[in-house]
Amino acid sequence: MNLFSLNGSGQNHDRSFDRCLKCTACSSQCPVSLVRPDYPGPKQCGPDGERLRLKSPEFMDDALKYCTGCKRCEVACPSNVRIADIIATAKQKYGDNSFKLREFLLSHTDLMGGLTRGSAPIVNKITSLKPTKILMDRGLGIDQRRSFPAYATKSFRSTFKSVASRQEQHARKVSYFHGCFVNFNDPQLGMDLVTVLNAMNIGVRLLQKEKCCGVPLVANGFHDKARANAEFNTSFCEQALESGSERIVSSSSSCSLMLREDYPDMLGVKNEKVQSRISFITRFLAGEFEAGNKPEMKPVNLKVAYHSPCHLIKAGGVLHTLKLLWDIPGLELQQLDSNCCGIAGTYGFKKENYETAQGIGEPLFQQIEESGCDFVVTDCETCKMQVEMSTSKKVLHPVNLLARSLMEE
Amino acid sequence: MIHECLIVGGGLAGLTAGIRCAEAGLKVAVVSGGESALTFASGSIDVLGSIPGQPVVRRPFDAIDCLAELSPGHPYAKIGREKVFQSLGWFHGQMAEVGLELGLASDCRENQWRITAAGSLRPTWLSQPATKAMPWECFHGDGACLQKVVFVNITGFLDFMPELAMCGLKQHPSFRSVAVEHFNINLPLEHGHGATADTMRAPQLASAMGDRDMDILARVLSERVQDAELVVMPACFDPDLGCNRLQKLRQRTGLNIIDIATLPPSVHGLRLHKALRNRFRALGGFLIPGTEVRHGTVDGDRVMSVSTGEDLLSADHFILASGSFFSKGLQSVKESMSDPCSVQEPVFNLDLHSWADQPKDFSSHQFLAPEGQNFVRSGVALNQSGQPMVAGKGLHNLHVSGAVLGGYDPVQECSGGGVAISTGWQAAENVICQVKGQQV
Repeated sequence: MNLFSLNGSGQNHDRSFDRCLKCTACSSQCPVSLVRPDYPGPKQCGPDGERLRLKSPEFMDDALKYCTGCKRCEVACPSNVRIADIIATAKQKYGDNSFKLREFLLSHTDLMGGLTRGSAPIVNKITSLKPTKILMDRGLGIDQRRSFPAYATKSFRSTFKSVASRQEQHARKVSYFHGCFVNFNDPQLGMDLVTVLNAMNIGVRLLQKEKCCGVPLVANGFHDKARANAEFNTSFCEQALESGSERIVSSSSSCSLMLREDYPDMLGVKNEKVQSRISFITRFLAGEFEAGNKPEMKPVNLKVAYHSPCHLIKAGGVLHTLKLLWDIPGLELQQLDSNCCGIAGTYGFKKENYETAQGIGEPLFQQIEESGCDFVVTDCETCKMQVEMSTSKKVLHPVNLLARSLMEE
Repeated sequence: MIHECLIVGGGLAGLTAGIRCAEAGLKVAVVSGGESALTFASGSIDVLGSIPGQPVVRRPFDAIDCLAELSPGHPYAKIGREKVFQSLGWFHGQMAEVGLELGLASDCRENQWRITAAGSLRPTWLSQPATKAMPWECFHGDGACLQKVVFVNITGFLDFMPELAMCGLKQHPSFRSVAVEHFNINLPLEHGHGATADTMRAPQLASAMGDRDMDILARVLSERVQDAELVVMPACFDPDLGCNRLQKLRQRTGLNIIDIATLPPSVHGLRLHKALRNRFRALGGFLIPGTEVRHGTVDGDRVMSVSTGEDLLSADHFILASGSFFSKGLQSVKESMSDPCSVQEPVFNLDLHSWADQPKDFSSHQFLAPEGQNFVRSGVALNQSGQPMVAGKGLHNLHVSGAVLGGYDPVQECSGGGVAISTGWQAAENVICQVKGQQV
């Protein structure tokens, strides 16, 4: 092997790994490598490993599968190496890409949600039964200790119909990418978002159609499907902006990072027509508040503890959420020490990752129990699932709290 | 909500300033772009160990007077020795509040010795509890209070090199007659999922070791070390705030075991960072991660806001604690190979220490040049009133602390920790004074 020549794909390859100084700041922040010392950490799996994989795919390390894609390494990196993206791409390029039923079921969130339509109570009952859990554990490798998020009896898209017509009364309009979780599991969050934006005299539209943003697809090796969804969603975002919406907002920190940054960076789907106008909801609201469009708020006399999701940190969005929470009168807010919750989307559902996920989250769960808070607040739906399953506290979205401050007596 | 104080930078200087502001009841937030130098730090706080042309410094606070005379632009010279002492004493107390008991010499104005992973002895003021620095008399002059030191590593662990440490230590005059040995201990690494120490960094090794490993360590150490007064191991025992496992190992073996910071990531540095964050949050401060400040807007003698490129952050007062080159608090610019390097402070373009009085070049070709590297001394200059300046004009509500400041050499002087803490504290005191002054 010639150490100075790259294999075929090397020439057009992302070379951000060349900027790595080997400082190990990334490794110091990796939540996985502390709980699983057999995961060599982001420096070795990312920039170091990539250099070798470019020589020969034989250098692909099976341990890459333990990476959760939290991107804390990228936040830590002083040289802007796209460590997590390098690892995600390598997993897809060199990893085992054979079809796996479990990965398919866990990652096709829109398809699974769609199948429960009209039968949510039965599905919820069945998935919470011990025999089902044992069956899924043994047959599929979905850990039986994990609780499944309950499906709502009525999807957000159907619930929204009751308020859709009055949205057009507002002069300003935004389009809402609700994502799978709001649609099938938490329509109330979507309705709260409509309430808050309406109180600010902004109408809410839905995209004519939307598919899963692609986060779980990428995490489970379905890159082609993710790319197809990215093209689908981007074209409907374009359509929405062309027909009078000033912005696309999303209430999920992971969906919005995907729509905005990872479509072009990781999937190679061009979105420059819409990119700058896709916002995570707290970014949009904080901007409106600052520009003077702030609804009248009543005190919310609650003690809450804020957990910042990894992908929101990466997107630089913690600032916006804090700005909103600071503005809610009466709210007693404490910030939890930044610590990944461990679930990382579908990662924590897999049997082989259960212990790792819970181990990563343990310091966070402990902080939450010691905080004496009434509620935990966070921006991410899978963080919510994980915290509700692993602690005694219920979790609210910042938008839920804002809606409360509008409605409370 | 408008913050009374917004701090740019979440390292030692920034969080120290944040803790002091929050303690005084100010609404304060720290904005942080990435990781700070604490990831690489020894976790001990060096205040002042060396002044050019002088013997190694035993009493750091007393030496500040002499330092101030030699280099009037030094950050310590602006603060003065009593305030430097006051700020560091306060810092010691703040860390103790969250359970990190940093060790002082019996005379609290004296330095102590800490051994580094390269086997050198550095004068330090506060030491990590597990590192247990040694009293000054131990290694002063030719004698040493020890007869034998043993370095012990975990077999395969690459970020601690006992042979190197041994050679380094033997070069110290006090160690000429001291026996220095080393050996490795093989561990199964109970929680390592089958991985071996050679693929791990220190924090991973700490989580891979279980009770069984501690049993083996205790047994082998008791068997193999009988007559050494000091056993030095890599810092890989207690990733959290206490030093329980190491303490237990000391009790079980009856040996004087210390653990010292390895190649990064450093368990002791990460511990110090965690203690700082915990204290800051406990006092009601907010830490905003993943948010890099890029520009500042100045109007006359006031900073109006700082910007991330996308967001504006407003506050009454700002503290710049953005660190040195590595943290991007300072940037070096070289237009072409033949041009000399110039240095910039990228957020406000603040005035820097001038090079005019520096006879040497930007850097020396000798990496460990005895006189130090000149670029290390570059950084923000302050005027007579302690204010940073833009084009010679002082800024009223901007305060600067830590490694972004110029006029000192943390490497040569062993002063990085002390400067970060005292200037962070001083910046906070300035803010508190101005805020409370307005309230009266």
